[in-house]
Formats: sequence, structure tokens, C-alpha cells
Amino acid sequence: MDKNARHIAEENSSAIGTETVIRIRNLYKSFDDTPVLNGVDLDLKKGENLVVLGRSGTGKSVLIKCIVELITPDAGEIEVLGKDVRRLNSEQINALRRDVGFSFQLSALYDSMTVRENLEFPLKRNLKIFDQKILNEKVMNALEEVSMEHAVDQWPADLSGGQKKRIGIARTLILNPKIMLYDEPTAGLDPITSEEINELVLEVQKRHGTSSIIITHDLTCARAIANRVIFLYNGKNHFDGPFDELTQTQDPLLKTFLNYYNIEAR
Amino acid sequence: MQDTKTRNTNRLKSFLINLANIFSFVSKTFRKMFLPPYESREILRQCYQIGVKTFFLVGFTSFLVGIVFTRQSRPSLLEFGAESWLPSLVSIAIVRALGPLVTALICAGRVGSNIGAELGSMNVSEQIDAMEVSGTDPFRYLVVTRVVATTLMVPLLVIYADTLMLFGSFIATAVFNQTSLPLFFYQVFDSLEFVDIFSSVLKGFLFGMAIGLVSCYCGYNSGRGTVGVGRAANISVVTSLFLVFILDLLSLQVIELFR
Repeated sequence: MDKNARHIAEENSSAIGTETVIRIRNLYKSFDDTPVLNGVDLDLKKGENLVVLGRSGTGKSVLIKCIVELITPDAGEIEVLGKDVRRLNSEQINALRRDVGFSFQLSALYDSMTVRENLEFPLKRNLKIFDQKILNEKVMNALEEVSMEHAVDQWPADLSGGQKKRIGIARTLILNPKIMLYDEPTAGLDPITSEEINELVLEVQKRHGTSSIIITHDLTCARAIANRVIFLYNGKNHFDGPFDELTQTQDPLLKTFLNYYNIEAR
Repeated sequence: MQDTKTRNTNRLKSFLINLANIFSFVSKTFRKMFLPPYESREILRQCYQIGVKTFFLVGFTSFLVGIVFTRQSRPSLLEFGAESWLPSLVSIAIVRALGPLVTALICAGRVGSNIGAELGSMNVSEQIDAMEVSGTDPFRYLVVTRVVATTLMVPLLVIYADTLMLFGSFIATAVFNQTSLPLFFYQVFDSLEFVDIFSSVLKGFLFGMAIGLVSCYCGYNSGRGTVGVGRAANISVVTSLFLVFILDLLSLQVIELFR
């Protein structure tokens, strides 16, 4: 499974372009006088899978929430697909959110809706599609991509953690985004399901040509899908480079982090 | 000494911040309530959830309260030989005070806790954020619709509760006295004025709005984790009940001016 994911990742790496789709400079964010982001810089190239690593509380999730304006940063520049996010009005933000899919850590499926209604929701609300035939077609296509067609009329409460993640990804993919942001895609999943999700992330990148930022502290996930890794520490970039370079580091902080996850720093 | 002073300053600061947040939440709700786009489908769904699903509970409780209240009032009137005043007494008490209050207490318990817990768990599981990235204004979709639904449905439930309480009262009266349904309701409406019925509906309107605003505020701003959800549900009910009693007292003072 892991080899298969890495094989897809190697194939995908040849498709990385030179165009920057997300550019972040000097990003700062504090909560109640506690700094979380302390001057983060980030560049995401077209077709690239960028994994952001770091310990809990280093601001990884805050970083990607700032990209889609779910959290407003205190200072810094965020440019997504050439647009300055901080200068956009609410309509322009909504338009941008069509191009930037967000897969939440807990999947965030609406409990009061079936899987079908969950997937129809962004189509009706964002694209204003109300024709039931078109909705059905788009819903089934999205579910097919994540191999969950059988769950179309089920309730989120009846699904396993891995199934919820898949449906969450399908709900994001249904708007055909150019960029995918994954918040802890393998958190709380067993190793086999985690591998399946890793493969799904790579399949999505291959089929849709998306660029992705993946937030995780799961090094197995990072090794399987990363074209490049950024390590955040105290709200700042501490490392930026390929995964293999990370494993060969002599930096004591990174060595401690890698050892904790049983990955030898050579 | 310095510590106590700092603690008190922090408490005052936190109280003022909370007050500002509540004010901003309420004004945002009213602004979005009257400005398009309107979430009419979701409002109807919430009216069903809040109104129709509380129908049986309100009806059954009101019927029983009507019986109990009449049974307990009868001996006192009997002592003064004023038993024939029973329909007048109960109708005034029910329409002016008991009907709106009982309905509001039931709604604060059932609807308030439901809204607080539902919005709280949506907040904790990032469903509100997911709604926002799906191109939906979660405040308009979740808060405004629920506040509108409680404001519209509670007055209707009050009228329904008043009717069933009076019906319960008729049953309790008919057991001991020879009376008929038309005669009982003739005596009821003879003793009621327009301002009594208007005040009953007005109270329902105010109580419904208060329950909706309080429970939405608590749920929407709940803390993280399961403890936050539990706290949101709990505070929704307690604060709603507290506000219902305060509003009852205030509306009584205002209505007395028109009597």
C-alpha cells in the first residue's frame, strides 16, 4: 500500500509547475495575546503536494484557515491564485472558496443531512444548481471518485471515521477546486485506512491536477504524499525541503520529532 | 491586595466584553433578519422542528395544568359561595399569566436546550466552518432562521396552550357543576377583554424571541469540546428561564398601562 502511494507520488511529482498558486509572507496571528503564527512564509506551486508538519499547537490548522478567511490574520500577506485574500469582499471570498477545497479534520459532515444532502449543499448554495437530475449526477460522480456510491442515502452517524473522511473529500471535490487544503487527513484512523486516504489524496491530485497543502503530524502520511515538507516550530518556518532531506537532518529539534515517530534521522 | 484588584479588573473587563458580544450578536441578528437573502425554506423547516414537534408536549401539559388549577381554585371560591365565578377566574389567570408562562417554560426546556446543544456540537465539529467554506452565511442560515422560527411559533403555541388549558378547566368544572361547553366558554369570553388576549400573544412573541436569541447565542459561541456543548445547552435553558420571568414582569407593567 505504502509503496503504491509513493509510486503515485513519484509520478505526480513530474507534473509540478513553476506557477505559484499560494503565496504567504510574514503571517502573524495571536489568540488572547498568545502568538500562534509568528511570521510564516509559504509558497505552493501548481500541482505540488506540500505537507506542513509540526507539533500540536504550532498553528498548522490556523495557517490553512487563514488561507480561506475562516480566521482573519493579524498581519501578513496571503495571495491565492493571484488574488490578495485580505482585500477581497465577501462575494469575492465565496468565489475564491469554489477554487479552494477544504477537508476538515473531523470531516465536518452535517449531522442533520444524509450523505446525498451533504454533497448537494455546496452545489445548491455556492453554484446555485437546483435541477435534481444534474445534482444526482454530480453527487454520484463525486461519490464514485471516493468509492462511496453505496453510502449515498446513509446518515453521517452511520459511517466509520474513514468513510466520513472520504465523503468529506467528495463534498469538497464536487466544486472542482484547483487547490485542496487537508487538515489532518489521517488523524484518528487505523494504519490501513490511513494508507487508503493517502492514496486517495494522491489520486485526487492526479485526476484533477490540484495543488494541495496537507496539515499533519503523521510522518507516514508525509512520507507517502509529500513533494515538499515545511516544519513549523513556535509559529515560524523551521524547515523547508523534500521529505528525504528532513530524514537526513542533524537538527536536534527535528531529530527529536522524527525519533518520537520512530523515523530514523540518518 | 494587588491580586484582588487585578482579578476584579479582569472580571469587569470580561463582563464588558461579553456584554459587547451579546449586543453585537443581537444587532447582527436583527440586521440579517430584515435584509435579503431570506432563508425561507430553512425558516419553514425550523418552524416545523420548533413548533409542530412541541405541539403534543405543550398540549398535554396545558390540559393537565388547566385541570389542576381549576381543582385547586374551586375550594377557595366555594368557601365564599362564589363557585359560579370559577370560569371567570380561571380564564383570566390562564390567558393573562399561566398560558404564556407554561408554554415559555416548556419551550425554554425543550427548544432552548435543543438549539444550544445542536449549534454547540456544530461549532465543535467544525460544521459551521464547513458551511462557511460552502458559500453559505452560517449566521443567517443557523441563527436568524431559528430566532425567526421561535418568535413566530411560540405565540401560536401560547394560543393553543390557552385553549387546551381552558378545555381542561371545563372538564374539571363539569365534574362538580352542571355546566355545558357553550355556557362555560360564554362565561370565559364574557370576562376576558381584548387586551388580555393581546397581552397573551405579545408575551408569547417576546418569550419566543428571548428563547431563540439566548439559545442561539450560547450554542453559536460555545466552548470547544463536549464540555462546551453541555455547558451551552445548560446555560441556554437557565438563561432563557431567567429572561422569561423578567420579561413576564416587565410586560405586565407595560400592559397594565393599557388596561
